[in-house]
Amino acid sequence: MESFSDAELISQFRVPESKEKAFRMILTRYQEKLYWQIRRLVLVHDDADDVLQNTMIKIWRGLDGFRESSGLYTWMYRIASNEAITFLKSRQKERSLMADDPDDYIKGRVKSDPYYDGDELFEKLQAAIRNLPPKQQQVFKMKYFDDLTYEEMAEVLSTSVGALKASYHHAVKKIQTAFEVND
Amino acid sequence: MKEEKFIWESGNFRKDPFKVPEGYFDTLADRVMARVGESSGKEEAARKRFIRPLMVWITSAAAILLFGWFGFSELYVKPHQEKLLQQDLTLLVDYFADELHEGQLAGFVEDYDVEVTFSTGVDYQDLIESEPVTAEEFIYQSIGN
Repeated sequence: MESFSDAELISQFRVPESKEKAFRMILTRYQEKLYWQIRRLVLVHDDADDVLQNTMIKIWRGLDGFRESSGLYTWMYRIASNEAITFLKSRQKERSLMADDPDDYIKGRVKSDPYYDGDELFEKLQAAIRNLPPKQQQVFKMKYFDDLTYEEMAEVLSTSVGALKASYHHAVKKIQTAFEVND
Repeated sequence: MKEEKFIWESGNFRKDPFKVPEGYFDTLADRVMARVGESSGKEEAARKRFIRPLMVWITSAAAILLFGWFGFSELYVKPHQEKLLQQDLTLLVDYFADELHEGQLAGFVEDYDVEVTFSTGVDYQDLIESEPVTAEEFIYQSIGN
């Protein structure tokens, strides 16, 4: 099977005859990475599926105008992050209406997801992450779960590598403290 | 490179307790493309729903303005201008009557229906009918051709 570079796929996308084929190849190449990135933010499979499809539709609409100043995956990652955050904000309103303790709501929703198989340790970690400031949450998840390098994160978040290292370091310390306190 | 071990990564900790439905990624591209087609169709329909009435309005407004201007021009402006021209010519011909010869006067009477109020002793209508070539020449001279 022919293998094209990202740049070649983008060029093919810009030609009407090969647009759909090129897009499907881009989807196939990055769908899992993007899915897991989103899933770790929104936690529930159905929600991740919605957010991922919305992300891909935005990529379809925006790829013609993509300036290639960053890598293709970095650009898509940014779109996916924004979509997930928008989704979470909308859910936040719902949570505050539906539960006295938003944390209980999240736990309930996650636990009822048939595609979740976490244990108490993982839930404790998630609770500790939720107590972090939003920016630290994002940095921690990108580094710890998505295995992005600091350079890749700097490109996505438009922040310096040094600031990201400091942010991650603080996040880890707070989570460790939360675990030590609760033990 | 040795991976950092965190305090929570003890025992049976699983970093990734999430699962995905069987075959999810195999059909994802088809589902996305179906939605892309739907949303393109909806956008096109919305554009048509907006643009068609807008074009009708623009075309109608342009037609009304054009007709209105044309009608106004033909029914009011031109007749008004012609009337003013005739009035001016009458005044001018009257004023310069002594300097114009009969042929020129005949030309103005013929072309612009100017009423010559002074008495010249010449029947302009006879002049135009009896000597058409001469009258025509005088008319062309009088209008500067």
